[in-house]
Amino acid sequence: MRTTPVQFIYLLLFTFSCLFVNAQESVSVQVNLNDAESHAVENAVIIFTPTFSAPAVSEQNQTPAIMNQIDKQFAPHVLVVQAGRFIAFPNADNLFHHVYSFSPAKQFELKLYKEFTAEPLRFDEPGIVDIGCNIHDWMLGYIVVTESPYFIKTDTHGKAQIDLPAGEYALSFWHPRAKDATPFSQNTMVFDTSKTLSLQLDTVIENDLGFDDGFGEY
Amino acid sequence: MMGLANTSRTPLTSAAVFLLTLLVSGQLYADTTLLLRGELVSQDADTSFQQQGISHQRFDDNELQLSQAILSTRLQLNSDWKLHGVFNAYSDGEKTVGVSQLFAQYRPLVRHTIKPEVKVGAFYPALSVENTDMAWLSPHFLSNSAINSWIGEELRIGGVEASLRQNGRQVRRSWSWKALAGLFKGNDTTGTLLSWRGFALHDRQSLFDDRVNFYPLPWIVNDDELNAPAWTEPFREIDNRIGFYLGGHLAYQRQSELRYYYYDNRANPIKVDPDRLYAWRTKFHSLSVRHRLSSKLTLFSQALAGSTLMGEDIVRNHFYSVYLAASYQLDNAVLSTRLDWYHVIDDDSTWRDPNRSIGQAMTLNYSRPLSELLTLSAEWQLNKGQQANRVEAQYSESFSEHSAKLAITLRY
Repeated sequence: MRTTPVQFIYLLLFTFSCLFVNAQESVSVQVNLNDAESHAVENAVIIFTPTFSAPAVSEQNQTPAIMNQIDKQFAPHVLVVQAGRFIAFPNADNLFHHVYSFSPAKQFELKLYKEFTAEPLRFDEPGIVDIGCNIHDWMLGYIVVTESPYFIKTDTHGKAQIDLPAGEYALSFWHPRAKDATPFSQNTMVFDTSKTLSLQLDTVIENDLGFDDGFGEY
Repeated sequence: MMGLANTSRTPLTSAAVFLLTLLVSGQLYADTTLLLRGELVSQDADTSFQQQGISHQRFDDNELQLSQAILSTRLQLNSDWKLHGVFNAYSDGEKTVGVSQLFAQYRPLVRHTIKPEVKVGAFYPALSVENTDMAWLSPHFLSNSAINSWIGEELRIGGVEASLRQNGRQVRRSWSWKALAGLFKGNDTTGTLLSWRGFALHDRQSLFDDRVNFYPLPWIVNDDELNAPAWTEPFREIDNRIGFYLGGHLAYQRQSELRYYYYDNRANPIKVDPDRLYAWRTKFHSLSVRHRLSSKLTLFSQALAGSTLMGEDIVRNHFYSVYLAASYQLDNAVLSTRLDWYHVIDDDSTWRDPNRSIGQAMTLNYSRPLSELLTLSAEWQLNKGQQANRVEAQYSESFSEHSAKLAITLRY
């Protein structure tokens, strides 16, 4: 069957309108997070759980996330992954690490010799996984495993950004040094247009000094 | 376990040979560091104590010296056990190659946030906030403070230490702590050098079966007087009694740290061995603090107060020492300074053996990394004071020792 010019124009219009509707459904959310003394808060995690039937997220990235060990510190200090993701634990230090977790969400133990990368581990259960090193007590890291594919982690300036399908979301907040704190006054929020959230915690987040400069064991 | 002096192969040297064999054969996972330090010393002082001179310096001439040669290794035996060994070589002293530390560390992985640890072997009690580099070196100075120079030459634990610790970061609190207790043998002669040579400032750590010389004062060495040697073997066991120590560490984040230790070798002071070495009953309190004022400036300090008793009141001394130090990080160098003060008070009535000494020292150090492997250090030091027994050796009671050192350190 041949397509007439009018039919062709209708087809084009239909295609663009579909694209347009899809584009309309995605909104950008920017977050600026400060503590009670207006200092930027780093490593805060916000999880957006849609209360509606959100469109399926495209096949998630199957390459393992990385929790590295550099200068006797976990890097990053906080890693957020969706449940089901694999995480690799390389050792960039020229010394041993003995990484472990006793957290209910994932219990494991990895003996990481120099420049050694263990087989990636799969994190299936949502929750907070505290990880430590039995050789270097001061090493501490967190893996936040989420059910929802929508999450952000604030940077050193307390900023983060995410594109979300428009709709209503349940909000959950977590920070390693602010137990039970939240900058949200309500549990859910509707995102129908792009917006910037200027958030403030009502507690002061103390600096967490990660270095091991001579304060370690000897 | 310790103090088996002058035998051809002690259990410690056998263990060291075994450890080295394992290392060389590559049978175990090991963190190993090699450090070599050459030092050009220019000083204004009398003959060194190492040569049985009256000064408090380890070196004599103004030549290039091998002040440190260290192979430090940590072997992971399994998940819970590690073996630490520190092998040293020096260009001065009676024993130039040997072992300064060799111990096993049991550090099981436990679920509880209060975690246990046990050390068994020969090691330092961790009472210093100054000697935090590998192999009990100071990262800030070539010479240690008066307190830690003494610890380095006359004190080593040959025994067992058990501790419990909680890391504040893990439980989301700002305070971390550690409590420990240890039992040991050896160390029976500890106190000899403080009494007969006085406090000194250097970086010579005694090795196992090492012998440290001092000036042969007539009252000590004469046949018709004490008839003792002009040297000591710091880790010798004389009375078979077990000594103990207790310690506590408290730290606020990565900003401030305090360490308190109480040590008592419980030696029986009337015991003498066939070499005429006495057991010295030595006990002391040590308090160390470190505070990081900013990312560039760190302050640290230590105070020591103790006593030593030898024979039936032949020597009864009290000793005190304090240092205050600061280290400032420049763009590509570190500038450090330390003030030391020390005092030995003679409380016995043996008038032929005056042990009183008092002195102060000032040390300035500039260290600059030249590459990943090499560091250049320059250190100036003035150590001056009075020491009563110098008069017995026909010297004036006052002394003033001046030194300048230029060192290059290779770390691999």
